[in-house]
Amino acid sequence: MNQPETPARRDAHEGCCPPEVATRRVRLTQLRDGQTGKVLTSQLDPQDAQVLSAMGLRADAEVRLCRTGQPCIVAVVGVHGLCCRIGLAGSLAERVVVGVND
Amino acid sequence: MTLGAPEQRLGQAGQVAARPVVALLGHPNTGKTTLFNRLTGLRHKTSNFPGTTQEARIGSIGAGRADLIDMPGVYGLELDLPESAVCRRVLAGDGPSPVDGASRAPDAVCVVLDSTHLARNLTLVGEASRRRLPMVVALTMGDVARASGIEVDPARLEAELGCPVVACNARTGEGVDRVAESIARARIPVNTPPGDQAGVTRWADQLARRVALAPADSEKLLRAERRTDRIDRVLTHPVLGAVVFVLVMTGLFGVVFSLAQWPMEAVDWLFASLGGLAQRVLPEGPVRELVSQGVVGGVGATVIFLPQICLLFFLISLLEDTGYLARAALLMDRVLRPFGLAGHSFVPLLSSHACALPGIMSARGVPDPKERLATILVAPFMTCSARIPVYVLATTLLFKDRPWTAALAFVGCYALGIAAGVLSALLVRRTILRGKSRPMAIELPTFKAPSLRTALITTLDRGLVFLRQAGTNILAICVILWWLGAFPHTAPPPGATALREQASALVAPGQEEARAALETEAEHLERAHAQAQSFAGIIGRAIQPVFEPLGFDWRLTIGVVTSFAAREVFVSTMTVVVAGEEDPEAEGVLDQLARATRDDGKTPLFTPAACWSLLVFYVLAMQCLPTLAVTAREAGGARWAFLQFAWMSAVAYLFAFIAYRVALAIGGGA
Repeated sequence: MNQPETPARRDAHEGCCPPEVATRRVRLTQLRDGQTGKVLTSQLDPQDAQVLSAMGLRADAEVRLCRTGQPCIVAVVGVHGLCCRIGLAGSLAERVVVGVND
Repeated sequence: MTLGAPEQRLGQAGQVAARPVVALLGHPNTGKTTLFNRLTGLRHKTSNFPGTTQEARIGSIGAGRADLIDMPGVYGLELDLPESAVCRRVLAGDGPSPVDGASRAPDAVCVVLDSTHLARNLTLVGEASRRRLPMVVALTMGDVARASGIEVDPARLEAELGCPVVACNARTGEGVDRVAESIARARIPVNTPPGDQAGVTRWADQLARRVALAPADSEKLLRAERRTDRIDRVLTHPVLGAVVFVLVMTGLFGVVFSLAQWPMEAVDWLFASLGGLAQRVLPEGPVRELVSQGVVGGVGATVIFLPQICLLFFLISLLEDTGYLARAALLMDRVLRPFGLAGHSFVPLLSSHACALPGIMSARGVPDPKERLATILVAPFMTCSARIPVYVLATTLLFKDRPWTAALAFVGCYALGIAAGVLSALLVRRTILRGKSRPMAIELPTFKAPSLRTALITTLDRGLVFLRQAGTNILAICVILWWLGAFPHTAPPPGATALREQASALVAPGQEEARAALETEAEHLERAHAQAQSFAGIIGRAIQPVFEPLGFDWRLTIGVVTSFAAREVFVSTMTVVVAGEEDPEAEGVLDQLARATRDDGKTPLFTPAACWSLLVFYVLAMQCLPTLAVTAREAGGARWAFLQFAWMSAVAYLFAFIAYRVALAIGGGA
């Protein structure tokens, strides 16, 4: 389920949070409807990672999966609790690794 | 910065321009364009950023004392995206400015900040502040943030940044005047983020926490989120979402077609009256014909689409403002992505089924430049309303008294156009517009009531762009084509002269009807003769060998030549050339067309094989000069219009040839 990450992939998304924060690492697409998690890292191309990061979907961001499927909808929780919703192609979502607390 | 005092302008020392320039920067969906519209009102123009297809809107603010550039909405200045590159170039003064063509950086930057997503938006402030340009921050969406319990303190933010921060509501206009005033006080921020991009993000997060209070009732926020979740699940559901989409689009186009009908009739009447007035006022001669038929007739035939264009853009703007259009793009992305197009391309392609002109113009909503260009190039393959008269003629001749078969052929024509469009898109995306498709990552804005003012300004903007086009390039093209069809004047054919002589002999009471019939017949002969002897007719005869493989004789070729400017002209040309009648719906014209024979006197003019060939040719051919003119403008160069014309003509020729040969092989030659 969790594929090993190369250092290069890991570097593509800077500022990962410490692994002890999350108890389980899953892909964003593996979250259930309404389930929340914290973005740990991504295996995205640097350009895609940069764009998603600018949209708020960056390492350490708290996310909630609003709608599963292709494409999915993910809510990125802002610093004051307000969310911004992003519609995400499956090819992008499956490369974002999130940590979830069971 | 002081507006209206160029000698005191901040920025480039030693360079004094006529007026200070302010760049408006912000994320998408922050209300940036609404603010631009509020600040500039109707005092703006639309063009492209030099050397790009990115739209640049430039307006004047402060009673004409400064120019404001509405830059593309971007999530970051350092992103490897075309829109970010445009913003970087403008802020650096790298290349000609869209305002006056001079290479200079703007005198100030006004960053629009969405209060509901403060931290994320502040990263853009951080990136912009590193440009060391005087800055003003316009804080929008304060009402939405407050409704969610978040209170942003503009004074605190101003103190933290060291530049003016003004809260405003672009929808209601509240605080907009203060934004305009504060631009004169723009200052280079003192608080800039340290380090790399990660440093900017941390700086923005920390600053957001210091200047805004978190909501006390987080349950309220969660409830609102759940409600949006439920709506989104329906709107983006593969089946339910598609049903909603079909209903919305049917409603949209239903409204466009039904409401546009009256103003279109009014435009038609207006231009007919103007043509009539020119006929009465001007002395007989070529000038009168030029004005009444070439200028008034030509421009009228294009301007008649203005109501459709305005209504379409008005409704699309309203729909976009509600937040629905982003959901629709997400839904359609799955369908169009395999062909190298984005979900955003769906509305332009659908609009092109009414008319390619508004369709191509609405492609401005496609964010990726290559996907946008591909959309523009293939949009005219969609069956527009101008093709319908040709479809009606060909299917009626092919399937007389078999309405269901004719209807099936009609549907086939639509399907062929769509297939040709998406496959051509795939081809261009794999060849000349090669490049990685940007995977769908789209922000879904909060649902809200649309702004009527923004929709009206957008409509006016698009309408004016279209009218400028109609009054320049399209007018010139219309005049040339009218001249080709109307000149040279030739003497009436002997048959018509003989008929007129016979008619003039019928003077006895009771012979009025017979006299009128002879005169009508003479008139038909004269029209057919004039059309055949005109320059267009001569060209038609000369190039007939080119169309011979498609089964077209010289008369069908004249129809193709005269309808080069507009497809619908084909039917009226054929009725004139064959029946001498100007009205294709006149009694008996269709029978005359069906009975008409070629020069050998035996072979029907419209053989079944020729009808199939004609049908396929008109589904695929680019027979619309206004569309080419709009493509050249929207795509950023005449070479794209040329490519579009060459490709569509080649595809049309090839497939019409195949259709003709297949139809001949199965016995459709007579």
